[in-house]
Amino acid sequence: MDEAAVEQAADEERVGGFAVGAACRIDLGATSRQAAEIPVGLDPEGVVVDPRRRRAYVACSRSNCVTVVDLETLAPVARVAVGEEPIDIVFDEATDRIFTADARSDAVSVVDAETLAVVATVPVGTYPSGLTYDPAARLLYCGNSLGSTMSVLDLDTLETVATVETEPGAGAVGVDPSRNLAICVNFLDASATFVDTASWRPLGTIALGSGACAVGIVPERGEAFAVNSIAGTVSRIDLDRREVVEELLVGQAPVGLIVHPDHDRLYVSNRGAGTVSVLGVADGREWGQIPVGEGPGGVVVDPSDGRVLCANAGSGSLTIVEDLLAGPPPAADTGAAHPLVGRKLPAFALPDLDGVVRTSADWAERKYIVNFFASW
Amino acid sequence: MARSGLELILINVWEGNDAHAEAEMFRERWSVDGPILLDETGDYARELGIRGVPTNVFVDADGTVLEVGAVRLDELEAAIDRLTAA
Repeated sequence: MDEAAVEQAADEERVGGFAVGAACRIDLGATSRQAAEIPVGLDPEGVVVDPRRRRAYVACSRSNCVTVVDLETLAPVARVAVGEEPIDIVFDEATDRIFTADARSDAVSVVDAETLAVVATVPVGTYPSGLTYDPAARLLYCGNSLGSTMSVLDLDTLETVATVETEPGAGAVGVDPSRNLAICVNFLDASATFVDTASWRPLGTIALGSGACAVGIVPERGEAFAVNSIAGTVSRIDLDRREVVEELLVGQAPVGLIVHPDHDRLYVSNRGAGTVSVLGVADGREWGQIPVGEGPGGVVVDPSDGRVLCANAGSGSLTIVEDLLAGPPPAADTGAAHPLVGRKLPAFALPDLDGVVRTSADWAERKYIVNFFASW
Repeated sequence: MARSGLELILINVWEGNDAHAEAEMFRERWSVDGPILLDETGDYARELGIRGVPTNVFVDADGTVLEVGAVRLDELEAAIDRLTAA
């Protein structure tokens, strides 16, 4: 709250000793709250969360390292040298290992998360730039941009299970275990290659927008979402029909994408805009844009608190931000009543400051005002 | 609030760090004498479709929500009058 707002609050008429009005007013249009922007290294492109240790691992492509960030203290705590130009990164809880796609080394580095030592370097195709993994099937997928292939590695033995022909610019990979399907996005070819994960046979290629470079899957909808960085759109792909069914609008130069764990929204980082778009999965609308750092790339959601982590290649930092959007915003400011108006207040059971759980039944047959507030 | 016969319930949400300590400080700073409840997960605010703070929800004696919003002082006064008269 700025000084003017503090003075305004002090001047407000008090209701029951408490200024219900402007006391803690923030911008009502605010859709996010930034927790931190942490310097990590040069050109950070990929980020992943280690939920048990409360850490983020950030692949800094020009520093040739992984920077370890403590998510409680919001500070970098270690750096691990990997291969040249690590672009994407994955963390496997089962083996407690971090994997980086080191583009200029044509290899994947394997790092022990406990000791932070590189325990293996696995050769893949030329210029690996995208990683994803299927923890249940114990497989790691790697798109090799200049090799025009997709490598599939066994997460436990680190052996190469398959090498599948794709198209030039292969990078990001999405996996739908329920359909035995992998979809590899080809940046230079502006296309996506569908691969049968039972036989490792390519099933066909579909055209995407130019600069296709990231993909996310929503299996229960049978849909994939691919980001087209040059076209400035997100393609909604029907996985069964294998066709693009809708083009969604986001910000300038979108490059990164993650599906929220609730599957109700996508986060798309807009490299040109310095923002992350919040995109509704069902309605395909942009609910809002969250400001982050310069040149944002890799984006993930911390599963433990739902915060969004975004690696900013331009500013060499990691932004941690809360998305405050509860759902799609109203279509326009038409003065329409809040959906709650006219309905019964949903029951609550919440602890007070003495730890006593109070329920809405305590206020039955009384008139009252519920004031939602935060101290910030 | 006493003059209007309405009760005020504060619900702390989206606090980030130590919600209990922050809410306690808030109570002292603003001399709040009504109940302060903690919605630490944000689930209740989400269920109600609350998008920002502060937001006021005006509830009639039969539990019906009459209005949502009304944080500007003039809006607040008008909403309190309407709830009192309802």
